[in-house]
Amino acid sequence: MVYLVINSFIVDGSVNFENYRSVYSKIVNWTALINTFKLSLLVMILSLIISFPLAWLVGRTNLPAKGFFRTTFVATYMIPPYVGAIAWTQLLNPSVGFVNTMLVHLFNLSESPFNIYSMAGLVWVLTLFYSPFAFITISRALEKMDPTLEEAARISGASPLRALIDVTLPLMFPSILAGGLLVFIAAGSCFGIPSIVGMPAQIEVLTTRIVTYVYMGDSNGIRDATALAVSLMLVANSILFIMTMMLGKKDYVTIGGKSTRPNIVDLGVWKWPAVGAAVTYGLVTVFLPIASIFVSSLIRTYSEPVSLSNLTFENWLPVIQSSQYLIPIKNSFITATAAATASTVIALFVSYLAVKTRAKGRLIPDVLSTLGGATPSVVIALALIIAFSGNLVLNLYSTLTILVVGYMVKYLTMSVRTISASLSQVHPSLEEAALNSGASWLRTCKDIMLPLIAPSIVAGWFLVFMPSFYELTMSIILYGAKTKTIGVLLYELQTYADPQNASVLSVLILIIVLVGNLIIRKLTKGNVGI
Amino acid sequence: MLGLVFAGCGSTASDKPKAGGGPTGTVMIYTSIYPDIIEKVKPEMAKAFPNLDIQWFQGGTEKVITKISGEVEANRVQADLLMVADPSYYLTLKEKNLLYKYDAPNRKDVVLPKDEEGYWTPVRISNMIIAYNTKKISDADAPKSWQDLLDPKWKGKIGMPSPLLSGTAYVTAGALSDKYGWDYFSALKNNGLKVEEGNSALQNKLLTGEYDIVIILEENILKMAGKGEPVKVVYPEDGTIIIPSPIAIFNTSQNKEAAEAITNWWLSKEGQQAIVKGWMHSVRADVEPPKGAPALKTFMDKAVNADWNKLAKNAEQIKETFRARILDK
Repeated sequence: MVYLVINSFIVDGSVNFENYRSVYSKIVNWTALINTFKLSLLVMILSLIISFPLAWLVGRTNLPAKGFFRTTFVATYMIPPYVGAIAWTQLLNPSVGFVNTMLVHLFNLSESPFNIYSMAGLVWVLTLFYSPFAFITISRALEKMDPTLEEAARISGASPLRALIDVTLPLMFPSILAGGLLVFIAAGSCFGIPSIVGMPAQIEVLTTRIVTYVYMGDSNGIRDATALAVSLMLVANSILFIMTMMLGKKDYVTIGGKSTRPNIVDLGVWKWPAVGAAVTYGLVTVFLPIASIFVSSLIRTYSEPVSLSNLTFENWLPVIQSSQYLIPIKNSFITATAAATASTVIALFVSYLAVKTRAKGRLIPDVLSTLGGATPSVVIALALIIAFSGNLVLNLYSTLTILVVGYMVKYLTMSVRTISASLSQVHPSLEEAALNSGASWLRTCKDIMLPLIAPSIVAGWFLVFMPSFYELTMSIILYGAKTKTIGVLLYELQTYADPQNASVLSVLILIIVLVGNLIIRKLTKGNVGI
Repeated sequence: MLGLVFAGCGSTASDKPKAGGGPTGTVMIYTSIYPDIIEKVKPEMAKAFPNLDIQWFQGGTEKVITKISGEVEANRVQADLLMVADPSYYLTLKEKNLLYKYDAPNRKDVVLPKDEEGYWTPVRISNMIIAYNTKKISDADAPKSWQDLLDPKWKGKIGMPSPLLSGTAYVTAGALSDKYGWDYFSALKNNGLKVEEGNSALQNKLLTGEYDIVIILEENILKMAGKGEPVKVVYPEDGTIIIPSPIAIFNTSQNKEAAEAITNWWLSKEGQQAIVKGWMHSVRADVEPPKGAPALKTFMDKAVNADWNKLAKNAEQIKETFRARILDK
């Protein structure tokens, strides 16, 4: 089903080859392409530079309060980017940004130190919202790692740091690349943040160009948009290809048969500095924007400075009392759960096919899932309307199912990348042993493979669930009278009602996700959850 | 049978809509009218059409148009009625033979230009105006016209919505570039004009004081001023940009009887009062302006006239010119 949709793109893409000429005869689209590439690459590199040390601290050292830090480092992933971007513009806009005015005041500066409306600002916001992809992927793999090689290095006299750089880091390569790729794709195909942060800075990216073409409102516009969207997919897939090449034929097997715990590095004197660093990072990246959203939800009016007299719980009352919020929350729960579960199942097959078999064309589904992930949501939504309005076999229009399909097309790549990375680290000898002992293939999967990659499966599930839960762009075009989702509601509140109510809903989303996560963790004794 | 008021002054049983009267079945309306207005008219429409199941799809004008574009490509238009804020789009739809001709009885009371044959009729009026934050700018100092925005004292303090992403902003760019030439926008850019995604972002940034002045839809500001926020509307001396949003019925509608009845209801006094509650102006002369706004006729004569045909035909060129002049670094 998913492939049917993606195929409709490819047909679309190849049919209008002459469009490429018209699209790429415009300088602006080149600029947008280059901007997208530059941004995604910068965001990817920055995310990895930030995420690997954090994942290592949480996964492999005796850092105190690990559980708390782990949740903190992925918390930005629970804030809808659309809302988070607005929060950052409130904090860092050059004229009245809260942080800026405070710094100017404190240090008697002549002008605001930060301007969020810039390339740097865009990289910053995108990195904050998408680096959790890298963190989740990397930390899962780190915790599942067989310590033998590290121990060997340590015994041979390498310092912990040396062992980390020479042994751990190279072995983690598949997961690091997988995480990086996810960040790259997410940053490149994101529209909300570039439109909120990039537009006042006059930075055009591919997605903003694509949406501009779609809004032309005629077939030409749609065709031009598709042509651009295909270029975006090509960029993403070339990166995927390059990364696969880089991995090459080396052996990254780190999950052996022995049940071992990865060794924990004693931080020694570095313990408290590490805590300090983690706390600082958490404060700046998570606490600041969340506090900004929370305060917005309590603020009586935007036109007054923040003070006690200007704070009120009034904005919360209608939200808590009104039933109009319950239906979208329920719908989003259903669609996100369905999308996450179905994606996980499909991703298991796709990953297994790609990593563990020698079948011809085994990489095709993998590439297709990347295509979907790299396609801007608005184009997916259009393709779904065209595909499922009943001309073809299925009429899913205005059902919850069409939303689920949309989310799957867009986010399947999340679970595929996560699961593939961890599958490639499982040693084939384990399966062979089981098969040779007479276990069926299914039994082997159930008893050997699944337990070994379970953490990644869970991580992958969450990586699909979260963005689906508050997805905005596709939902707003695909929802029907009875299938309103949280994302749509959020957009309505942000646009028409009061921005304060939108902040209330964002805080609610955050609470729902955190509490849900805690419950799952408690029920499974900490084995499941992020 | 419309707009019944049970005031008790001699209302007889025959006044009541009979159960079983009026159109039946379901009807689907695609609109950009704000959700809170839709919630307000639902009970009124339920009273007027007791046997009709009315369904709504609500989204920003551009998003509704995107949905329709997809449906047109798939040859499966799901909407019976369309009410969005881009008059030029209706010309495009008419040209593609997608609209149904209906000369509603209430059309005679619509005081604005309408399609001669009855393919579309204005149903509500939005205005693009200048708004300012009264805490930052005194009334005496405030700009009075589009030209005033070029005053160096506003350098870097003005925001407007992007014509590339917002239909009403597109109309504004077209109308003002016709009136003053594209150089006007270049001059605005040199005065530090910032372009944002849409009206709501601008409204909030005007409140927080990130901008002192914004080019924005009147209804956003009327609503905020109604809540006591420090914002005011300026109806520019050199012309407000009046955007009459039409209503139209799709050719493919399976329930034309209901679609016709609903069209006529929206153009009735009762339907128009619902529009005014949503801070927009009525297309009828016998309905009050929205709270806090002057009557339409006080600024209608001076309005900047948008060339709807040109806007319908040259979308790509107009948007591209704006982008190249304003949005390129």
